[in-house]
Amino acid sequence: MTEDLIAYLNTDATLTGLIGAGTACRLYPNFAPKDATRPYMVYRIQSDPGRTKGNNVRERMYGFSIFADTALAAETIERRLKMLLDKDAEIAITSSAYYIKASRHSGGTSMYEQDTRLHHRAALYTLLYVEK
Amino acid sequence: MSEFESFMALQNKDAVIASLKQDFSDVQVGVQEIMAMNGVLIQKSLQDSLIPAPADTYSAPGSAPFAHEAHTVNSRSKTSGKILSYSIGGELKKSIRYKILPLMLGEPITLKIYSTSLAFYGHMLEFGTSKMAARPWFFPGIQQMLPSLKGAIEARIDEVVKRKNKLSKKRAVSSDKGAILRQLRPMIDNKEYFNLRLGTLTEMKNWTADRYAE
Repeated sequence: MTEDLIAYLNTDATLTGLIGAGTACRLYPNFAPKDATRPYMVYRIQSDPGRTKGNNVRERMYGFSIFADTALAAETIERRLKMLLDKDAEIAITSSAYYIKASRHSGGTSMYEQDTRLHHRAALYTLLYVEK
Repeated sequence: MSEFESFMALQNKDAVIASLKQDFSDVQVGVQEIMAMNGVLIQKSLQDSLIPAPADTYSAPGSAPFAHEAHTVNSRSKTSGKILSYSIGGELKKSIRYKILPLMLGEPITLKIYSTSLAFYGHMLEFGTSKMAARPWFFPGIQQMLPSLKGAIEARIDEVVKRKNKLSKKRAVSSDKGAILRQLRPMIDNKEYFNLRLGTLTEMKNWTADRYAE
């Protein structure tokens, strides 16, 4: 499911225009490599309660962290991410195993790292998905 | 062709409205009680998720951080040269709090779970930093507790409705459980009244503001 979600994000030209496309895409799982080019984005499974709602719908929360030199750059990426993921409708992933029935922005926060002088924008999305 | 007509009138309209208002008030108080009770449980659950570990041992990225038991550290003062002792560890566990936000007209009933500035690094563990992978501890804990909170709220509503029905038999205004549930359920399901939406408080405030803007 995570791979499908990331593949979906990678197909968006606006987002890849901001964080790179293909093998140069700066969208990293869990943690970015040292000295990664900025801005970059890190994704992780924030919470996976493992329960099934009605109709075999499962719920999972993803966390995205955007690191950028300016607050505006971080904000721009976050806004695009929100456009792609904050939908109360099915998300068009190309997966042989899952449907993402809905995805909702579940909050986030802005931080500033004094030592690295990086702006950190964290965003949470709750996804409802079913197996095919 | 001559007309014929009929009419139906609710004679005791004011009494019915007053009765429903009382139901809403009872439900509101009940939900607040349940949220407060569950606040304690969520606080404990979050504290318990921070498993104790020896000092200077770190949890794996992606898993909840370890709680380091408070221990004493000695250091020599640069100015006086004296040995100073202070206690560190366990701040995150101690910093977890809950609070029912004051009830405002049109605002949802809200249970706030937060960590105080005692553990200033709580959000860094939850979201990670540019130098450290995240160790989510807050949202996984809360998400785990949501179904039981929702169940407890619904049970309390049922209880209020049942009590109302028992009382109403002795009153002039009859209260039909189905009718009350039909009034209440959409509010729960649409999350317009009972805000069980999970998110950060900032996001929730935005959501409330959006609602007023509509």
